Amino acid sequence: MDDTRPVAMQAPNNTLGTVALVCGILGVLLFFCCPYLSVVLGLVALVCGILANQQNQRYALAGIILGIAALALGIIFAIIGQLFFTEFIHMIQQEMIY
Amino acid sequence: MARPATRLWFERGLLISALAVMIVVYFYVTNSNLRELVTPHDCFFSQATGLLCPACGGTRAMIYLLKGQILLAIRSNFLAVTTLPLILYGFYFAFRLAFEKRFTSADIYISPFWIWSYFVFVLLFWFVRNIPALVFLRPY
Repeated sequence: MDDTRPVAMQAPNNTLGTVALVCGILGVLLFFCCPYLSVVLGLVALVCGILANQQNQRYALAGIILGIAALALGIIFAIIGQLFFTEFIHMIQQEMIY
Repeated sequence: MARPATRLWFERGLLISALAVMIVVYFYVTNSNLRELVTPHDCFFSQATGLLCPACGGTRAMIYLLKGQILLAIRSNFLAVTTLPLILYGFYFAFRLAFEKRFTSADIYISPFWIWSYFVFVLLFWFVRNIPALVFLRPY
């Protein structure tokens, strides 16, 4: 009797890689409107991407790169936002005085 | 693959710190006036284009949710309220990773269909809430 039965192929687990990619894309998309959220999403993408990379999952490297980009853009825009809005509020206060 | 004890304790410490911060935020929010907490609208995207981003009203939604006003939270930002169970699900995995020695990151599984569905949902919400006819999706 032939003993070579077909073995069911288990689909590879790419959960962390996919989560890293999605969080990275959202982080990069949202850095302009909510930089703090972008920083959080970038951190999540980076951590998930690193864990996924250790398991050779798909999208891991893309998640890491997008995570770093989201983190950097988020931090830059958070700083710019703070400076810009402080100036803006100062300008409004001066308008109200004069 | 077994993780070293130092890493496990680091993960536990990180999670407990996050929980402590959340508890402090909860008590701060529930004992404060909403007008003191919500800053003026400072969204670059909204100021540059006049359109709403998917996170507009998110802070208000979270504050309303922490104060137990679920309907007002949904009116402020539906996406933020629907994202909360996902964040809690993420914390569930983080707790299992930190406190179960046999549970590793390779054991985390969510169907890719649901992950990509959420991504599409965010983009759709962004598009739909800027349609002038759908005023009820604008922040309350």
